[in-house]
Amino acid sequence: MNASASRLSLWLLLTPFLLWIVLLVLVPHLQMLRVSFQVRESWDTLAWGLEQYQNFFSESYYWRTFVRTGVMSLFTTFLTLLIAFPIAWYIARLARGRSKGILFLACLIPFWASELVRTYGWMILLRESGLFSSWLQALGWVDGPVEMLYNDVAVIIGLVYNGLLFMVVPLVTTLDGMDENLVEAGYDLGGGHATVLREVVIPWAMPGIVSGCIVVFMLTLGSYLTPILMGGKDSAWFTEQIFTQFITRFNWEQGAALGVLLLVLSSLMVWLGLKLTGQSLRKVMG
Amino acid sequence: MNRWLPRTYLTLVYLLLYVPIVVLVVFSFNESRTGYEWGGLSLRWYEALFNNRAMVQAMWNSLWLALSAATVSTLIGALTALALHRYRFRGKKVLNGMLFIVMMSPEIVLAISLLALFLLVGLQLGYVSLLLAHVTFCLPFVVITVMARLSGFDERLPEAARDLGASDFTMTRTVLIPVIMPALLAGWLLGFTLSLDDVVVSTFVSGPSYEILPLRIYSMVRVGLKPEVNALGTLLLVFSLVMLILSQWILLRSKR
Repeated sequence: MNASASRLSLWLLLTPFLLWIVLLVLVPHLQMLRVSFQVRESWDTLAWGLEQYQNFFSESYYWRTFVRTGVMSLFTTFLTLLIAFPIAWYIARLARGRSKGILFLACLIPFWASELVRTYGWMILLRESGLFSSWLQALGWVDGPVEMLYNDVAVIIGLVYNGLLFMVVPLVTTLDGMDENLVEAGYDLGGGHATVLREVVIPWAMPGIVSGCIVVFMLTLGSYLTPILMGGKDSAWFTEQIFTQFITRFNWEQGAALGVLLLVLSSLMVWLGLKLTGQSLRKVMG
Repeated sequence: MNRWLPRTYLTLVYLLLYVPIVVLVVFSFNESRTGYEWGGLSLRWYEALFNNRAMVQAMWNSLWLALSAATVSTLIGALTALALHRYRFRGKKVLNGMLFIVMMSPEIVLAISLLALFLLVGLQLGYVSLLLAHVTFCLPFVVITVMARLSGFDERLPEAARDLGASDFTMTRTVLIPVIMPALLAGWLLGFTLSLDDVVVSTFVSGPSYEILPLRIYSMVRVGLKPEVNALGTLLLVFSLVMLILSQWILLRSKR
């Protein structure tokens, strides 16, 4: 094939995708950015201005919710890592042959249920008239029904549950490629469990850890269903505010600004995380 | 090291992974209305669902939407994956980065930007707006899945076919398509599931003319817990699993 024919077929292959991305991703995002810099002066006149962004910083409700969402997402990510690491270690290093494949598959299957279905499953378990409450009563540990839903702990349980798979998979992938001799050499040189974990295993698994953490963090920060369905009256999530501004209040300018802020601040936090751990995005995401 | 400690931990975590789903499925067959008492085996909630005409309509709408969104995104995604797999060109890294950004960015941001666009150009919210939005969020996942499957594909195969005298059309039909079929199937299946399960984007871009299942479930869950939701959730779950098993079966058969 000559060069120009090959150019042509490349363009033919790529055109539908490029059109789609430009028209339905690039244009709408630029439009959102534009709207976020507008201020409504009266019902039909708009002016340019930074008022929507100033609102975010001056009205404590906005940035407090953002900080809360960010802190809870960080905590969720850390907890997910703690829970997922031993599982990944077991699947990658201890399990042999068939059981390895089965354990890995068993980890994936629950995630074929949608987030809505999974969250609903937890609601059945945790609510006041739910299973956990009636089991606790049957055991005689509590006197009346206990409400375990609609609080921050419930939200975190739901979020960790949703993120687990996205942490286990990259961890298994990196741990799988680790040489057994590395660990043994660590012990031979006189390291204890903690030292080997800190000096050998964690540095090796770092790309997997960082990639899992980024995905779980972004998923958690941007999640909508779980915090709304499992959270209480006063546990606001930032995505909920975007919904409120856009749909309930019909204040598009403010909603767009909050959307832009979510995008920018979350990217900034991921970038900061990469810098702090000394990883690059290309290395981490392959 | 202690042998039973890792096993106990693993059992506990796997138990917690499955308990919410198993409970949902079991209680969907519960005669009693409560969520903690067993009132005997019954199909009354399924009956109630299928007697509800609006619900059945929403199911068909959802299936049709997922089918079309998966198909469109697989068609576009396959061409893109082929281009990214075969060619080296300037801007390839930018394109890869863009896929990544679209995949990682919060759904709600995509949702509001699309809603604003649709209203701006005067598109009525319904099937078309849902399809456009669903293809948008499926596309990066489909491209990545197809590309991952293609990475094992031997580039010498099409060349060998050409050397043996096959035309481009024959080569595509007899070599390329059978080889990339498993990759396309995997991408299609992922797109189908993503579309069938989506709530957030659909909440924004759907209109009253085209009701879909996840939104109905969501509104039922928001006002309180209803036993019909157990049955609906079970149906959705079974459907996803059947699709998964079916695709694995087709893949295994094509390997023989």
